[in-house]
This record gives sequence, structure tokens and C-alpha cells, in this order.
Amino acid sequence: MADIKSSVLEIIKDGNLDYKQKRHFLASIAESSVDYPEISPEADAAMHNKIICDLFEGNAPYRPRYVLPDYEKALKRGVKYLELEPPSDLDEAINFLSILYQHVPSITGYTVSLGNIDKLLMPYIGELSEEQIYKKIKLFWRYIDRTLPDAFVHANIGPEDNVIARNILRVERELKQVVPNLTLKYDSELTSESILTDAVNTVFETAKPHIANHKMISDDFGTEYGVVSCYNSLKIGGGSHTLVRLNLKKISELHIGDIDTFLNYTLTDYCNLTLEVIEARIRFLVEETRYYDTDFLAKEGIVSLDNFSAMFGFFGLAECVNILIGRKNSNLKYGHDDEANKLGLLILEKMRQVIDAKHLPYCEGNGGKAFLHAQSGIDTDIEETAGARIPIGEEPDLYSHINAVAPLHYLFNGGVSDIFHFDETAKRNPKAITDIIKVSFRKGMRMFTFNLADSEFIRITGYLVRRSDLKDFRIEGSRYGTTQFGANTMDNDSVDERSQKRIMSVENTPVTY
Amino acid sequence: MELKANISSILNSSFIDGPGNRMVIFFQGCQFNCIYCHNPHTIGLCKKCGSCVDNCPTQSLKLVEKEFIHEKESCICCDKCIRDCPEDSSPFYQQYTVTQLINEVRKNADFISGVTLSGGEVLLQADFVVLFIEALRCDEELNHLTVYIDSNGGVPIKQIQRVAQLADGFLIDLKAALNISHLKITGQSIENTLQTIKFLSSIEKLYEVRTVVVKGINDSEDEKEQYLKIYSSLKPGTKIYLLKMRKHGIRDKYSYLEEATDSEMLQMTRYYASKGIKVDVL
Ligand code: SF4
Ligand code: SF4
Repeated sequence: MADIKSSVLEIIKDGNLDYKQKRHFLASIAESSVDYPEISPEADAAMHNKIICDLFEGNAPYRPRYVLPDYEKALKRGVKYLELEPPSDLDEAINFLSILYQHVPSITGYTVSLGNIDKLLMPYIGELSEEQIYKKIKLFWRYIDRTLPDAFVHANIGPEDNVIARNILRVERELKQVVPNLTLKYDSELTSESILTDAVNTVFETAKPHIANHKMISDDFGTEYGVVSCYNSLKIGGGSHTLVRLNLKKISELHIGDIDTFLNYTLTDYCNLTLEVIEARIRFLVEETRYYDTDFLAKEGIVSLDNFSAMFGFFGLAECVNILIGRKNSNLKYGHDDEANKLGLLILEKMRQVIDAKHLPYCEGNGGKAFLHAQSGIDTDIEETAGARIPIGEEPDLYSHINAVAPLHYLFNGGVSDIFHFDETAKRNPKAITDIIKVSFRKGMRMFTFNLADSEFIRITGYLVRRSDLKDFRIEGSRYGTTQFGANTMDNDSVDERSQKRIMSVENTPVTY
Repeated sequence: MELKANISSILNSSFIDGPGNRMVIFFQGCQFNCIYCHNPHTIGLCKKCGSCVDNCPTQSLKLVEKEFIHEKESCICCDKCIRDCPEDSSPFYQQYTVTQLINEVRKNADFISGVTLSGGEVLLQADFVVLFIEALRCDEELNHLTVYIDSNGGVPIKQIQRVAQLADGFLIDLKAALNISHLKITGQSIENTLQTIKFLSSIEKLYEVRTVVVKGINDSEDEKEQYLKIYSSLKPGTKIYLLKMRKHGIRDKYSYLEEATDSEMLQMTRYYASKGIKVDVL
């Protein structure tokens, strides 16, 4: 209790946090004061030793981690709880969404999903001119940035080209805001070359959108999916109850024996412990909190328990592979040598197999199975590389890099990211980038994220911060919930000093109080 | 004997040598001798005189039966061998047959829009270029790739015409607009290059024209006016770029050359813009 008191006071007195940020951290402390859902002593020990981690979701889940409301349905039917009638024009539709966004729960307090905005708004454009649409989108975008100041707030556009998507890109280039994060769904048969080029030119200005391989993700989900938060792909009208991740580096260090016994015992056992934690959290949320019986989104059918599943994350694959191979007195390296890359694939395939074999309750959104997610790391990961990425500074040349990571992506139905950096010369030749994106998708990459080596924005982990924001934070607070975590990431990884900038993705941040 | 090309280096990915992501193959040897040449060791062909072998401070180079042996382990990358070569050449360029070069392209084929042949002056080896492009076109795995030629345009127009039928586009270095500055910079007259530009533009294969700006040499008012005339004669859509001459890498004897400032470069683009011609700084 004394601990809690001092943490509470520390937060209250922290001049770098604004009122909302304080309230958020205070709520986390309150939640951490209750007992964790019941898990076995082995799972508990693994969590204690930071082998398994729930990414600071809190002890008593009272809302799902990722909620993707079916905004289209809401717009069509209206929302009783919020006394919203179905809109009849673009102003009303934007106003409707602006209100609804404020009521979607998440771990950070800000919705992770804004929906496939162009598809949502296209039915309402009526006879409006392009300039009228532009003005409305611009105000909408400003509203989103100022009221949902969290870089995990994520909007989608595409795969079809349309006037809303075009104006979102235009406004992005103009406003250069951190929020929202943005993904363009790309399908060579549905997406025009010209909007892909427009998107690439937008990345040059604002380091977003990310490009998602629509065809590949649709094969896993059907076309009703969203890319939210930090490259997570999930079902619309559903989402993920929780995200629990396994530290592959740590378990390879603990392992005694050869690679076969690692796969069949150590890895399998820890995957099962992770699944146990996932199940305990799901049961608490569904059976104790009774979120899906009580929240208006569920009651009004804007989300449905049937569309939910859970996410099984992992990180530190590179270190895991290098450690296991190193024990065979070999210095082959993940990302560089075929044999090491093959071992990476073997480990992931085994994980997917163990995950798919486990039937989880309330996970009908994925046929009772968890999604495998290459988790993008958080700012306290110092020794582990995000997900299945190649360690920063060790990346091989572009082509080898793509060839090394692409074969793994089919396994990550819950999402993945590999970030590429290009130099300024790309600006004059966006076709060079669209070439590379298309090749990557042909080779099986699920998401493509890139940035220019010295853009004003810096992608610390999966979100953006302005360089100037990073500097200022040390002096005064920042409006953006995630800037502070960027500042930490910088301290740990010295991102700024990297010659070859490759930045990891953050899912969420530790509450360090 | 099978025809071989002298290749000074190969770049697997470039964003600045034509449309899309491209592989660039640099050919050894050039008929110009530009004062600001940033890669002077690609100008000449090796006469196997052995002077680089003698000059190497670490004995990392050997010439055995007219073949170089380069010990990479002991080489300290001091570049003395290429800097002191009396022929402005290098012991490191390689010879490739068409088949060998096609196989190099195959390694990158998945990733690229095409290949750009550059130099040196690639069209000095026009016979090889023709065979290479024909082989590429006949290869089912590679015939989707475009071929662009980066040339100084200074070879006889016949050579240009032969290759122009086969290539998808050209990037031409226009070293100066007035003959007197062209002579000063390259040691050669401007005539061939102007003819090349005119011809390529007329058949719509001129993708890009670039000029390296050398302060005090090709940036006078007269020069700019002449450039304007040339630029105005091009088919709309031809990309026009200015590059700043950088002192980095140029030969010591030309160290007196001066770099233009960023604002001077900008002023030049503004000048052309005011005349309705879009020129960018690369
Ligand atoms: S590279 Fe130059 S110095 Fe060396 S042998 Fe050839 S011509 Fe002589
Ligand atoms: S770079 Fe220097 S050390 Fe290497 S071969 Fe040339 S002269 Fe010798």
C-alpha cells in the first residue's frame, strides 16, 4: 500500500504529464492493485522473469486490448447509447464518427481503430466538390490529432482509389501530424498505380502510410479487416481480447540441449504457458468483467464477441537463432545466412503449430485459435530485437533483407512489420519505391513500411515522433501520449546515432511508476 | 574470341539512373577527360605497365601473366594504385562476356524495373551493348526489363542510332552549352552531343538531360541563355537536372575548381523557371 501511495503521489506531482496522462497512469495503478487472473505457478514465474509479458495491459482486464468497431454498421443503423441517428451527409458522418471514436475503449485510452475511413465516408460525399471535401477532411484530421493524441490511433484507406483517400493523403502531406497512424491497403488488381505513388510521396513528407498487402491479409481474414495500432491486422467488428508476448531470446538462453529439444520441449512448453496466460486473461474479460454483455458497442452489435480472438506475440527471434546456432560453434547469423534464416522459419513454424493446436475459448474470430504476431518491441527491450526483424545495424543489403524476411511473413496472421530506410534520392523517383513494394508483396511480405533516412519524423518503434518533440520532452511535457516513450527508446538504443537507421515498433509502454 | 566488355563496377540498386529501381552497370573507358571527373580511374584502359603494383605500399597487388592478383586481406584501401595510374585507369575493372553480364542481371531481376548502362562512356563499347540488349530481349525471364543508356552523347551519331533502336531511353550528360566551355571541361567539341540530343529527342527516347555546374566555367549568363535554347527545343516531359560539381574525388591538379553554393544552384533553377522551363537540382 505504501508503494501505491508513493507511486500515486509521484504521478500527481510529475510536471511532465498532463492531466489526461496522469489520469491514465493513476488508473493503471488502481488496476494493478488487484490480483492477476489465476495462472499456474510456472506461468507466474515466467511472467515474473519477463519471459512472458502482457505488455502492461493490467491485472484485471476490463476492456479488450484492440477493438475494431464496425463503423459502417454504426453509420447505417445509428447508435442508441450515444443518441446518434444515421447521418445523411458528409458533415453528419464526420461528426458521428468523431463522437463515436471518443467511446471506443483500448489500453491506452484512445481508440486504436478509426476504420477504413474512405470506404466509410464515400457514401456521403453527394455532390460535394473536391475542395469542399478537402476542407472537411482537413478539419476532421485536425480534430483526430488534437483529441486522440496517441500514435497508436490508426486509420486505413484503400484498396480502391477514391476522392476521400486522395484527400486524406493530401491533408497528411500538408498537416504533417503524428496522429493518426495510417495504412494504405494495396492490391495490384484493385489499387491504382497512381494512388500508390501518391502514398509513397506522402511517406516522403510524413513517414506514413504503411502499405499493407491486401490480397495476403484478405486470404487470412476476408476483406473485412483493419490494420490497427502497431501493424496488427484484425477483424472488423471484433479485435483482440489481449496480446501476450514471449521473449524468444530469454528462452533460448535458458534452454539446455540441442535444437530439436528446443523446438519440442522448451519452445513448446513456453508457448503453452503463454497460451495459458492468454486464456486466463480472456476468461476474466469475458466471464468476470462481462465486457461483451455490458458495453454498448457489443450490445448494439457494433462489435461482436464472435469476431474476437487473441494475439500471441513474440520478439527476439534474431537473438534466439544466433544463440542456438552459436552453441553449435557456428557464427552464422540471422538475416545473413541461409541456415540461420531456415532455423528462424523452423522456430516460427513450430510456434504456429503449437498455437494452432490449442483451442482457446471465445476466439471464434479466428476459429478458436490465437493469432501469431511478430511484436514490434517496446522501449525497455534493450537486448532483444523486435519480432522477427534483423537487428538494427546488422541489416544486409536491401534485396537480401527482403529475401530473408519475406518467407516468414505468411505465418504472422496477427501482423508484422519490417522497416526499410531509403536515402533522399528516392524522393525524385517514387517509382523505385513502388517497384520495391510490389516485389516485396510478390515475395510474400505482409506489410511494407519505409522511411527516408533523414526525414523530419523519426519512427522510433511503430509510431512516429517529431525530432523536435523528442528534444523538447526533456524540458517540458508533450501533448502526444507516445512521445515520452520515444524519448525512452532513444535513451536505450541511441536511435539518433545509428548510421543505418532502423527503428523498432512500440506496442505500448511500461508504466514505470 | 567472344566479345567482352570492360566493366568498372556494378550497382544493384539505384534510384537516380532512370525510372524505377534500377541496376546500373558502369563501363570502363571514356573519350572525354572532364576536369571535374569524380571517377578519373574509369577514364582510361589499363596498359599493364605495373606502376600501380610498384606503388602499392602494402604489396597487395601483383601482376602475374598479365592478370592482377589483389590481396584483399592486406589492402588498406588507400587508393594509391588508382590515383597514381598514368593512364587514369585502374587494376580493378573486370571483363564480362554477354552471358556473364546477363547472369549478373538475373540475380537482381526480381527487384528492378530495368538496367542502366553507364560509364565511363558506355557507347565506346557499342558492339557489346547491342549484343547485350539483344540477349536481354531474348531472355524470357528478363525481357520485361527496360534498358536505359547514360551517355555523354559524344560518340558519332551512327553509334547512337544503332543503340537507340534497341534501348528504351537515354540519360545524356550535357557538360556545357557553349562549345568553348565544353572544350574547356571535356577537351572535346560539343557537336556530337548536340546532335545526339536532337536526334534522341526527335525519336522520343531522351529521358533526361543533366549538367554538372562548375562555377565560373559553365554558369555564365551567355551559357545559361544557350542552355535555355537547348532545353526549350526538347520534347516536353524530358527531365532536366543540374548537379553541383563536388570537389570530393576529383584529381589534385583540378583542386582549384570551385563549388557552386546551394543558393546559386537554386537561382539557376529559378532563372529557367522564369522562362517556363522546369529544371531541378539533383
Ligand atoms: S592500372 Fe594503371 S598503373 Fe596499374 S598497370 Fe594498369 S595502367 Fe599501369
Ligand atoms: S588501395 Fe592501396 S593498398 Fe590497396 S591495392 Fe591499391 S595501393 Fe595497394
